[in-house]
Amino acid sequence: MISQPSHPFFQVSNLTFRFDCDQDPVLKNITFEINENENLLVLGPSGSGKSTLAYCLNNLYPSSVDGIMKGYISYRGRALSSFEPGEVNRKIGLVMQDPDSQFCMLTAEEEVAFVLENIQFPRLKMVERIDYVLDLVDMLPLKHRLIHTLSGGQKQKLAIACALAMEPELLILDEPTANLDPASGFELVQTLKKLKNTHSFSVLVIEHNLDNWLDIVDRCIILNSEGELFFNGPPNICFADFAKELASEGIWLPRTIDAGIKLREAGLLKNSSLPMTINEIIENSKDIRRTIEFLSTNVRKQMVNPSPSIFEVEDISYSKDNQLIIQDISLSLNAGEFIAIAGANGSGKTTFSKCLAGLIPSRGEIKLYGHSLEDWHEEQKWRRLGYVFQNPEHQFITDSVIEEINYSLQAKEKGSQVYKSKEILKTLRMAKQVFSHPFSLSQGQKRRLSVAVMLVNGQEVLIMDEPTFGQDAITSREIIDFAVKAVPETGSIIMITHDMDLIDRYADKVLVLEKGKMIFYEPPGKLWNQTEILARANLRLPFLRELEMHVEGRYAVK
Amino acid sequence: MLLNKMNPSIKALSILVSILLLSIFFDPVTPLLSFVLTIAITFILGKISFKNWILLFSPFLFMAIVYVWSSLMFPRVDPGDSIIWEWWFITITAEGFQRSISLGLRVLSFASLSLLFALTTNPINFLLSLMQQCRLSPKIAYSIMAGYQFLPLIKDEFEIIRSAHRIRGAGRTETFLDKIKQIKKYAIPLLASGIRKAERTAIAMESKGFTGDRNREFYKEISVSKRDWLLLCLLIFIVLVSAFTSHKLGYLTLYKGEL
Repeated sequence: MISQPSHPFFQVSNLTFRFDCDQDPVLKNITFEINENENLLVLGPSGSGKSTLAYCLNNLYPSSVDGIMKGYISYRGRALSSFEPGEVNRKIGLVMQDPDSQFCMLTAEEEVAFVLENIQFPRLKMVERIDYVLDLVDMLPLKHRLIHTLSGGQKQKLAIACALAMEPELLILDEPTANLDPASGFELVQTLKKLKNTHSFSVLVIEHNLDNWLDIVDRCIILNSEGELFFNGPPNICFADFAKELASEGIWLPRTIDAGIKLREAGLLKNSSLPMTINEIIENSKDIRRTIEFLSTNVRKQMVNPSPSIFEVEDISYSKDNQLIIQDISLSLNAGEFIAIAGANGSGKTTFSKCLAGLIPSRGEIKLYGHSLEDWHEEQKWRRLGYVFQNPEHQFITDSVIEEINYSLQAKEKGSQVYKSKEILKTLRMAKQVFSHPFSLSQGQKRRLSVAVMLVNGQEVLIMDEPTFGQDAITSREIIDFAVKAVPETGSIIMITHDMDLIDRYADKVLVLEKGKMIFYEPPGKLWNQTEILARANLRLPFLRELEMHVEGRYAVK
Repeated sequence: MLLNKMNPSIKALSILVSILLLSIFFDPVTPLLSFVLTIAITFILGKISFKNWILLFSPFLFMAIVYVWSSLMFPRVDPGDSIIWEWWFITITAEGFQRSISLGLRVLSFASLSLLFALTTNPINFLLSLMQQCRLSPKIAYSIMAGYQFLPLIKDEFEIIRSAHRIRGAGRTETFLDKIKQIKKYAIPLLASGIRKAERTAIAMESKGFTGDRNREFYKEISVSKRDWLLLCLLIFIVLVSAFTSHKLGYLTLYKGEL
């Protein structure tokens, strides 16, 4: 299904971009071209200027940030800067990273209409077009909903619909699936594939979750952390020859490649070429059983003996604006358990986690360590329970890293403070940033600090809302490892996530929500066989299970 | 003929003209009559909840009472005024009484007209109408709209920051100084994210091909029909009828800069 690239219509030559004249350039001397009807994947560690590149292509930078741009970008042979404002933008659809701040109207319908108005689309055909693009991303039932009441994933879908409404010649997607549930992420790629059958347009995608995109990508571009173009070529060469470099930069690899590297090191592959698909792993393995066994070894051991319960939840409901968001959930959670909360976009995952922490009032009863949540003294409660928000910046209240840690320690004891904060800094690997402002840290450091400040007082229960969202591979691993190590064995982690591999690897139980109702609460091993539940909650199989299924299917055929 | 479906710009014009007309007269009967008639029109022709109306009207009522009260207590006494009641330092004259009642009723009639507009008009439609009928620049109109949809976002963000602080044990405030410090702690992240959001939204609007060009297609066309002009006539008619009745009863006086 690889579309045939034709001649280039976007040309970038020697592009260098800096935000300020005394700052290092974000992009250095970049040269590449985009062909018509081509699908381009841009890879790079966080902070390598991927988003900046997208804005430059759209003629938004340098004008809107007073940045300094050297070099030349041309669209159909004409310099971008020579176009009227808005002229090029109408040919390019852009989906930005932050789903919260790319809308200017109140409802989903009005937002799409706003785009159509801008491109002078004939009024009489607007209704039809709005319904069409909203349907493409499964948002038609939410046409009249107020945008600020949509969930993060739904907002992202709406942003994609807006970009598609323009029928752009180039579609730039900046992490379009970061907030989407696994099935929606997969469907987005399928939708684009289908659209490309009838329309000719190019796609430039910046993405962490590579697996869905692999079979439509024609070419990869890699930026390194200096903002230089490091590779420009076909994906199989990109991953086969540069997998090591990519991994060391913290760039996510497709899961097949990632598994392939490990297998190659363990000498389980027949030849040294890395597998691009699951079938290639199976064909390439010396012994498929050993392969699966090998890949399963680092899966976290499940708890065996039942332990005392931490949370007892009985008939919890929560409604807002006469809409039931959480409906009659009852469950119990034991010490030592790692619980994952999964479900489709807008199924009430964040709301439920907030109910658990007592951040929003709910109907029904929640008992924490045997006492009703309302009876807990606030200060006492937060000494045993930590809650990490999606945006780490929300949690910082002081002006330096050390003050952040001391602030959390303050409430407890005074004497051993100095010693303790040193210990913490060591585990955070942030000894150099002691006096830095929390806002100035890198993405990964911010995340680690936000988790750490929730745990320094020996909190036993940690609730995390999508802690790995938008993070590069190294950071994600760090966060989870840090949390798992820092929470005592008698404690518990509750984590909202769309990452099925993470669930498969760490979770003792998965709580699956569908429209605010609990439809599954058991170990993940049991979930993977329940195709009906997976489909209802927009979930997909983790890599390892998919591999097993392929193997089983193959054996069955033989 | 539903008020909620009228053209917002013409509706605004009608209200403006009526208020200007009403302000020519200064007697108790004209505003009283037009007040009653405006309320009648609001509830006959408009689809609004009585609760909302009362809720928004009560501050005006309070204001009117305060006006009447204060001008009764501290009146201007001209020679030749007929004194109704006198006690200690309070002197109530017939003229003063009439003036204060007129003033109070004037406040109420202005309020009822404004509420007629505010409660039956969708702000987005008003902006669209201003662009389509009054040639308001789309740049300004869409900036206001973007700002308008920011309000609930800021509220959500505030809630998140507040609970994040609560979790960290920063929610306790005992002294006044603590409270001020806390406002600073909320304000900085809120402002920082507000500025960042505004910047991103501006970029997003531009990326969607928005240029602020006046010549644009509108998805929702806000039309002007005969009924809209009928409303203008109706509201002017109300004021004139009130003034005429007042004249027949012998009350009508023009506003000559009293008070």
